[in-house]
Amino acid sequence: MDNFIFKVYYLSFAIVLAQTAAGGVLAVAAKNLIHCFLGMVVALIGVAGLYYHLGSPFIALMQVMIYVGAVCVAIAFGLSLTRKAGEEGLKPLTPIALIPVVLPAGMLAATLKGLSHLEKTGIPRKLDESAIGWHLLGKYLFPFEIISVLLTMAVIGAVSVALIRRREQNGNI
Amino acid sequence: MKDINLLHIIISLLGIMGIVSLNAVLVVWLERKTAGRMQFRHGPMEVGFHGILQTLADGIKLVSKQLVAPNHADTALFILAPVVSLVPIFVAMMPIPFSSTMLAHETDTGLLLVIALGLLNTLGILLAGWGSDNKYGLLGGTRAVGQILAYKIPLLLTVLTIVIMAGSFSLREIALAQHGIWYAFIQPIAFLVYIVCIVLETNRSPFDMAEAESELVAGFHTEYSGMAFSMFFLAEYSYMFVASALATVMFLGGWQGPFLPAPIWFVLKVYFFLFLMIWFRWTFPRVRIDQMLMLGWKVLLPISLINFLITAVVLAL
Amino acid sequence: MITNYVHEIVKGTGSLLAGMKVTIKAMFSRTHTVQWPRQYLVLPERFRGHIELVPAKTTGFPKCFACGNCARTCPSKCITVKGKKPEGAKKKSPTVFLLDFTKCSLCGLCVESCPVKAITFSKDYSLAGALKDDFSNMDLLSKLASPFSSHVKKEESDG
Repeated sequence: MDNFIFKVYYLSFAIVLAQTAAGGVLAVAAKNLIHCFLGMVVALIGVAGLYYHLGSPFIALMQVMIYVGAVCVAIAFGLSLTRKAGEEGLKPLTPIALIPVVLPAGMLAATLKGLSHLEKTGIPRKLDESAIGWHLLGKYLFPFEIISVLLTMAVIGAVSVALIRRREQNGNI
Repeated sequence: MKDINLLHIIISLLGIMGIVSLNAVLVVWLERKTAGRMQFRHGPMEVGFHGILQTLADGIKLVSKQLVAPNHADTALFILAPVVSLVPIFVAMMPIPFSSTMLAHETDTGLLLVIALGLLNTLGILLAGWGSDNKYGLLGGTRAVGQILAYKIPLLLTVLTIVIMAGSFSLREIALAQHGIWYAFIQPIAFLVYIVCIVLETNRSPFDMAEAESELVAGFHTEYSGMAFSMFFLAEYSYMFVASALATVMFLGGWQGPFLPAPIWFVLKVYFFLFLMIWFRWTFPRVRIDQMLMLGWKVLLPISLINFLITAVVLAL
Repeated sequence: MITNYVHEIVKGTGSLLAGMKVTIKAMFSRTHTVQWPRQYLVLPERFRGHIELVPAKTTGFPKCFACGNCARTCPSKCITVKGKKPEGAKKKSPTVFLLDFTKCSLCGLCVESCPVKAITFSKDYSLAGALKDDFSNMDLLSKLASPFSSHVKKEESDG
């Protein structure tokens, strides 16, 4: 029975991994803008699946809720305001295109190197979610606050940009 | 990971499929019947006792019809959209507790699961609108997306209010926390905001901007026929069921009640909410999209935020 | 400003509830429709359906004596009347009385012009038919008893 569970786990992990990769490829390579969007959604749901397999359903659901539910929907809202654009296809690559390849690869390598001394287990243990909350409001309170200040600044910035444009349009009201 | 039980999963999925289809049949019948009676008509009367099998007959008719994709439609998206709309339901139904033991999948994060997957419905609507190469469809899809941005934050704040009161994301725990008194009485404002939000979430009148018949023909499913159309239909009524089940758990104490067995209480409470939504639909005229956005951003958001803050402060004291 | 805001919300909610009260009351009141092919509505006295012939109370034959006033008065020329004397009778009796209901505008001039009030409005509102002939040649005599034997009537309509 234990063997069977391992097999199911590995199989579903492989499926989720393939889904994430396929979504990523679709997001980059598709000619149609909405297909790119769909690829992104597929990849993000795949990432949520990876979180789930790594023992944190909470993070997985947050991933679905925030990235698929909020970010993608906001992007979709932007997409629907464009003209029927994005069918011109891929542009030829320039050397600058190397940056988004090399940078995350370096980050990933650094992370893996940092974690390499940890011991390996077969199937990940499910974590206790409340620990996340305690850590965020305890040990990591400062970064947490910094991020919230950053987000507040972004919101205020967005509102002020919108207001300035409206003011310019409406004269000097 | 250790508690994978194949038999349990299969039985639960079969049960969920049963609930999805039976619920759609019943609610569509209830809706048509209510609509009829509210307009001094009889509603369906011919098929079965007082027309109760009418939906089944309509369903069989729909399944036997051809799905026609428009010439310039994006066929892949066109076929995918109803699937995207319907499939998350089967997962979202898993953590819903029909009684303290009768649930498909016990999880600590049930509430989040249901809400996160509830969002995918909008994705299906958007893809349908975009894929069918129809201006009405596209407008309907766009409106659905605009709508989700307006109501999601108040909805989440309301849910969070309940979560900090119960101290858990688990639907079972939340229901058990209301053993003494229902949260509907402790949190009347959250209750009202949530009711408005579930009407918004399920794209129902007076907020059915995505399929406004008088302006957009049928909105996002203008081009759909046959089985694909009935999948959208199933999805809509199943989302209504899920949203009502969530309301039952969060505000009406879930399955708890005297005399009757727990699952019956649960279904009764869910159908109370479903009836409420049907009642709204046949009473209120559709609002304009700007009025809906005003409601979302200027009324629901501040109210739910203040309610959340007050609750947090009171709990902290 | 803030009181205005709250007042607006409370007032709005109140009006929504008022609307919901109306519909729930309607839901539990009597329906105004009936299950049509099996049940019929009782129509008011002054309902104006297509015209029909009034039978005489004593005989059950049509009161009409085929004067043709109605056919002449009709602005749409949609009534056809033919008549002759049955054996041993003083007055004529109609042998053919056809209404072309596709042209009729239900103006009622025929009813008014009839000297013996032999025409009236029917209360028949269930007028479904598969053929145009069901309406363009409505045989108003068919519902009444006839002073002629059946072969005479047939001969007349053929000729």
